[in-house]
Amino acid sequence: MNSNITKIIDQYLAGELSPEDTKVFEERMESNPELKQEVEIQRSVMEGAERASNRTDVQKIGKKYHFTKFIKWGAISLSAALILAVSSYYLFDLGSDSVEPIPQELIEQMDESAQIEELPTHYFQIPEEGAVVISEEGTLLSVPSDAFLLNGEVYNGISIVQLQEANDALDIITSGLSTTSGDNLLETQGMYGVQGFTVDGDPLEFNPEVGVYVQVPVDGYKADMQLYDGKKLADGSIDWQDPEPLEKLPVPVDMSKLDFYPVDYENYLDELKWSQGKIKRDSLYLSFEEYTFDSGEETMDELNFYFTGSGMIPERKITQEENEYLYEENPPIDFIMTPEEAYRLAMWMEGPNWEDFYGFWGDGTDYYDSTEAEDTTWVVDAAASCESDMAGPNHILPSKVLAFWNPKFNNTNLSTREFELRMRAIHNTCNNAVLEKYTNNLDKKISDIDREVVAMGYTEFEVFAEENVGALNPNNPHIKHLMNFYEQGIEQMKKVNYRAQNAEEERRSEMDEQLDTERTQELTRSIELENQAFNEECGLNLDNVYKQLGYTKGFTITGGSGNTGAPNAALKNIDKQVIDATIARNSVEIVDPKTGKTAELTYNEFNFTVANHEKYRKLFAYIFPHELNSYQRIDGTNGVFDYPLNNDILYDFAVVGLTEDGYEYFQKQTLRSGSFGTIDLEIISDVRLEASIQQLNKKRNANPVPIQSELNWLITEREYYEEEQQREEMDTFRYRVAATLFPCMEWNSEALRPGNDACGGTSGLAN
Amino acid sequence: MNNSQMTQSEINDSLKDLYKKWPDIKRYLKSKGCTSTDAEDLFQEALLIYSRKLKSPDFELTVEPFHYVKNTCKFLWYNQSRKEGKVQKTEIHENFSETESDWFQKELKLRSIETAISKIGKQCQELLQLFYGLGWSMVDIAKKLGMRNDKVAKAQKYRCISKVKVIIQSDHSENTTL
Repeated sequence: MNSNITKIIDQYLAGELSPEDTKVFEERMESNPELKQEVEIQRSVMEGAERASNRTDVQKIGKKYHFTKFIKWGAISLSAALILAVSSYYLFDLGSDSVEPIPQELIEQMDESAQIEELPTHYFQIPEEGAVVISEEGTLLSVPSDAFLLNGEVYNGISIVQLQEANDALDIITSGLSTTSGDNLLETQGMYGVQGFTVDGDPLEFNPEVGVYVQVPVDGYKADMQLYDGKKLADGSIDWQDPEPLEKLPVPVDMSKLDFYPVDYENYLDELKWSQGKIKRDSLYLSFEEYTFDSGEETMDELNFYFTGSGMIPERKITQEENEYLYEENPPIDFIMTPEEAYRLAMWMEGPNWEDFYGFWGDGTDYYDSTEAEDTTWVVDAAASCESDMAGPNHILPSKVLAFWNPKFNNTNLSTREFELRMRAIHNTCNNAVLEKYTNNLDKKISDIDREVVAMGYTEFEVFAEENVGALNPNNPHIKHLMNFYEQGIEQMKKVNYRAQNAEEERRSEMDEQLDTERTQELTRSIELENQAFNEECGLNLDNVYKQLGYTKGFTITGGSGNTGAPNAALKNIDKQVIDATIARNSVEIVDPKTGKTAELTYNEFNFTVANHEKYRKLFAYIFPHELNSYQRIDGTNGVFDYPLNNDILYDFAVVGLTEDGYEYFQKQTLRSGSFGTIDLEIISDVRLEASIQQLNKKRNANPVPIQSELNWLITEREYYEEEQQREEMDTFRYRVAATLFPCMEWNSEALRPGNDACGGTSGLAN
Repeated sequence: MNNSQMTQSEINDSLKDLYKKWPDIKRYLKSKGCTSTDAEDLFQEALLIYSRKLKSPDFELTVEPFHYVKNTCKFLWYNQSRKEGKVQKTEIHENFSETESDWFQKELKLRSIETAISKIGKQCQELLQLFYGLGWSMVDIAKKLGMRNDKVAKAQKYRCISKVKVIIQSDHSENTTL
């Protein structure tokens, strides 16, 4: 759908077109029924939007009606002032079996002084050291040791706590409780009466320094839920007074029981049955500290493009809409996009409309041409300025998480389920500043920090702010120390990561260098070997032919031209025939033009096919001629080897295949010819391979060329093959893990699919 | 024309009063075989129609608001039942003049547009509602939705409208090809 038409129609409907334009537009409409229909549809969209807004109003009114009607939500009303801040307390179960039942007369006595006559009472016996108890309705009472006073002094004995609770509207209505505060009607969440008694039934007062912590079951938090004091009026009804905001205390949990990873991280690792060890998972997590897409594959480049939101200049004209954004009213005449304009538009796209623009760019090649774009220097510039523009990495740095996730931070705001929940949301903000709010303010109430985060623009933290969670141990003198420790911890983590990454990088580059050296050597060696083998065989053949023709002297051949000591044309001609035959490895009959004698050179058929050749990453045959110093390496084609053998030479041969898991091998000794059909290689250890080949090389009559460097090369290739596979797997793995860690990056969903190789096909080694 | 138009807050007050009659309407619709959830949807729809009617300049209320809303509920219920094939065409229009019927048809059509709008992104929905429903300025909308400036909001508005149009047209073509 064309935005431009939408815009013009919108201006027409809003009466923003000039009278002339309006006239032209209306004429168009008359002659173009489709346009007319589109105008009608658009008009209805406007009205529909208005109507949707009206509906929202009606729904709000409906909600309000139900709220007041059913008292679904409301203030918590408590019958006595309960002090909220409890600096530290211990949780433990109060097994009902272990406590003596409270005598019936005592219960009746205490019932007498119940705050709310209409509600049933529940009693809990609290040992001297304090306890946390939960009622059947789910109300949690935390009674520390010094919770009560008796005659103005701290009471240290066993206490009995009386609880009355009305958790829902039904309880409240049936017990005839009022929900008025002065003349105002309260919406109530529940009403609770709490009183303390000695074991003799004497009433206790609340200790204002400590108090009892009450946590009540609610379906959700309402921002303005408050705590009211109940005052019994003369007529026996209760008036609720002195509202105070509610606060929930975070519950300390040992760091080892908490999970601060991004949600999907562990799920993914579990799916892979990856090590469960926290140390391993931490160090994997840490290794993503500076994660970038750097595997250099095409898909990754594309991702980089989406990720930075720039990276390429669209090879197209600027649309009217973009023109307006760039130049407002005075657009330049030239509409071709310049790097500068593209960059500004890319920045624009990173704004709130990013999602729309993503689709806008992603849908066709006519918007940009990557090959063209690569020619410009802008790509680099833009990437650089993008980086400097960003306030930091757009994911939560692992070091910042791991630095506090240790026992040192136990008993702080961070070692709580409450913070664990927030951490999940923090990962989704991808903003380290949000995390820092929590880590740098251990002495603040958690929900005060929540509110600061909301103020940063993260409205999803409103839910947290509404929970009104307090601080854990805000007055702990170690807190300041811990904050310093945290900073050091981050540095430490960064160093650890840096060292690990560095070591890995060094290892890789060492490996690459070794391979490079081996390959260069291998190349020179192959050329030398080939020359030597040819020269030797040629010399042998010439020797042989001359012998047959009756020349008895030995010769040396240099550079293929005859220097024979029989300096005449006929011999040169023979030389040439021998050289040609050696090159072609063909049998020939050579006639000496001088004497008419004949000599023969015979090459025998020698071939075989290696079964399942496709499983070998490299496949060679080595030929060891007994009469020559040099060995030869021959390459097959698709596993088929065909190399005629010289009848005057006795050969051994070996076949070596490099596979994913190691080497496979085949050898045959003492032959001059043979068609071996299909041969199967067998798995062999690298030690035995080396020994076998060394043996074949040495057992020859001649003075054999050392084969060790060739074997070294083979080993390096094999190792590198393994290495390369590991790297590929590692990159894929890391890519997928990273996707679980960094929700704000754009991921290629294809590449994330399990079993799909993210890093493209097999990139073979260069020979 | 003699009806001086009500302000939005007066309309809301009127709606609040009417909502108090919900138990009556619920009982009435239930007696016609309507479920509770459906009934409240119908009731809200009727209130919506009523509130929109209040805003139209040539609307003159000839009956009690409650009766108007109740009749509208009845009409809507018959309309829905007929679509679901539950009742044959009866004297649905007994209480509605010809012009009223047109008005309702239009409202029903707009309701389908609302459905299309509900299929686009949340931000788009909010933008369109703020602009066309509450008459906010583009500057305020940009601020509220965290956009760079009003130009961006405006460009976004066109895109949102275009999206709705695409949905409407594809729904339409689906319906005609069926």
